[in-house]
Amino acid sequence: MTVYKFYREPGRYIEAQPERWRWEAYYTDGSSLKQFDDKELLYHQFREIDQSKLDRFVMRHEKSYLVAPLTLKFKPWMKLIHYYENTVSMSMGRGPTRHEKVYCFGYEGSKGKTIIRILPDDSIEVTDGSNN
Amino acid sequence: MAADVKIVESNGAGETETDITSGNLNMGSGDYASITSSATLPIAAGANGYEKYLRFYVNDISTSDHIKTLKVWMSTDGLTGSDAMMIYATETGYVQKSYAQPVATDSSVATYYIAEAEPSGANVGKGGSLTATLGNGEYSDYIPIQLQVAADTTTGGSFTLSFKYEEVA
Repeated sequence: MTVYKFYREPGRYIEAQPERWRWEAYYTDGSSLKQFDDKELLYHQFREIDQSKLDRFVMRHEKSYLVAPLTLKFKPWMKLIHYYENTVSMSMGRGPTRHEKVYCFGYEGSKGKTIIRILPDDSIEVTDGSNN
Repeated sequence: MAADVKIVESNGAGETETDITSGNLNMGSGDYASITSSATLPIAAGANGYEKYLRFYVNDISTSDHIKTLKVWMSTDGLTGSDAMMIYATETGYVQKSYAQPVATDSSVATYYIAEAEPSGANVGKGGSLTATLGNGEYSDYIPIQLQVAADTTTGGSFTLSFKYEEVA
């Protein structure tokens, strides 16, 4: 399996395991930044994205040959958002703990947020970020 | 690797901490974490379970940047009769609660009925703030919770609590 390195501090890295959905940022000058950089084998954090020159934000499935990517055409008035929702559900007398991860991305503008939630079955929901 | 966030429970006068993420949230008539059988520490009708003091704990932030928007709610309510799950977790007027040795009398801190739907925003904070973020090795505030069993309860009650956090990676 490919190993991606993440340098939290110079000279010391930890290994980043690939995500089922990963982001790619494409800039107006033709360059790009990928969460999992296949050329340098580096992991990049979301905050490394330069939103001042962002053109497109793409969420790509690990099986990109089976699942189409999702693209956000970025506008200068947008504030880009990306996070994971993690839910741990614990039952009394009903079996084991259940973990669920939802991949979220979108933007915030003067009229509020628009968040696309990619659910565990890879279906998507479009929300205002409040989840209810 | 994604961040490793645990749900931990504190017990006893000396505040013994237990990771219950892979354990259970069984309530009982004793101040213990991960009670393995409801038969060993049953709560009598008309009595309370011992309080539990829970927290989110970032065991390893790994490649992520921070954790935010902490929520807890009862996602499945299978309690019977007039049983009530009391908690301190709120989206409004939130203040930090301190740890105290759990008791089985009516809790003086877990005084809100637990939400039965996902809150729209955070209802658990850090340092008294619902917008504060958690980094590596950091804890949320305590989440005091207590099952108050009613006189009209029947056997077989159950519930599911959900703990949710957003991870910025």
